[in-house]
Amino acid sequence: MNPQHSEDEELVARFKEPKTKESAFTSIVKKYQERIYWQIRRLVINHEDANDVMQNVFIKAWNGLDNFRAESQLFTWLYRIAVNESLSYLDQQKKRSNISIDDSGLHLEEKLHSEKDFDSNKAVWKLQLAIQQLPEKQRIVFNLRYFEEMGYEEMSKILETSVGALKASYHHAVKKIEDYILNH
Amino acid sequence: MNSSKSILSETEAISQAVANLPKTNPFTLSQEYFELFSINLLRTIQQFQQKSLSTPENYFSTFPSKVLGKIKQENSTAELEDLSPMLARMQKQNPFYVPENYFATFNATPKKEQAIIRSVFSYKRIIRYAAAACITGLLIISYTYNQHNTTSPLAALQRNSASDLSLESIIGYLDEVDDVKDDNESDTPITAENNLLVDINQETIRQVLQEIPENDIKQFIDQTGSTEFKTLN
Repeated sequence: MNPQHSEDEELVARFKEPKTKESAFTSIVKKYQERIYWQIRRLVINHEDANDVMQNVFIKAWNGLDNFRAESQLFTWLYRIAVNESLSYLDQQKKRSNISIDDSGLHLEEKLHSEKDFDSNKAVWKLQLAIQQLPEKQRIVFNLRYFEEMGYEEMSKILETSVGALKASYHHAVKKIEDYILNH
Repeated sequence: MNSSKSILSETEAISQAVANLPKTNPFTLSQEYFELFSINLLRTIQQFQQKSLSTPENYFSTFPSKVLGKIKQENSTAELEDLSPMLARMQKQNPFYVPENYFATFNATPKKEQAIIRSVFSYKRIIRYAAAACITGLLIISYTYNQHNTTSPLAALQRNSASDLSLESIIGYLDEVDDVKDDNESDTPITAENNLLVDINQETIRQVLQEIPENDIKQFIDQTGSTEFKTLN
């Protein structure tokens, strides 16, 4: 058995005990917070927004861990919550700001511009600008594959999409980013 | 490491330019963020739980009486004043007479009355329903039977008995029937035996034969070989 998987099982078991609930939860948060944070941050850009989403994700985890049945890995489960919460957050922002679906990429681009040390000439920022032009699903797939180096099988469990569709999404995302970088 | 290499080669196969881009993280973040995040999060969760679960002391035990008091207070006098200022000004005195020491000597224990036991399942009711069903069934059957009988031609004929029909109408009907039979070329030959309405006697035959030429009769006799008609004339 995967040692990480057995460690997660132990943490979940300790969480279900009232006496060790808080300590187990703290351990889970510390174990996964960075990976989840950066996944959220790449989607919402802004740190304050990412922090709000992070809190929502782990509060949901706190409320849902008692019923967690280990059918999937704990990380997969947390990532799925993180992706859903990020997308919900972006939808709410769009509605509040009356932003159309077509302008959502532009809206995130503006957020990037307001980031500290932003420089559109630098490759790293150009890449981020290119990523924000992608449709939501492609953006998530690209981030998970390119930055997290996640396998398609694991990604398929998080996004509940077939491996073939994910491969196609990644392919299209890379092509669009290449096109943006070469033309800007 | 293997997955990193395979992902890199996959990206190179799609776009060399993208594969060559640096993977450095451009976003900034304070160093203490992750150290303090779990602590702040637990505090938030605890505050949330306290807010959602806490209620003042004795809240539920005193709630009904508080609500009733509020209801009674609200508008009872004001309502009466709105409806009838005259009634609102009148004194609320009880005009009815009550015997002395009535309430002191009042016996609060109720009489022990035996409850009437009524059977849910009643035979009488069932018998009544069964009788009603039988009668209804008989009525329906007799009506249906009558309807069937009245619609048959025989019943119609019986209804319209011969005494209601005149001789002329019967003859007229028979003429029509004969016409129809002629049209249809009936297979059955009309003979004296089956043509019951024609009164055949020797005198009638003699009269018919007198109208036919003798040569034709002779020819007929020779052809049929019949000796019957030889004695007629």
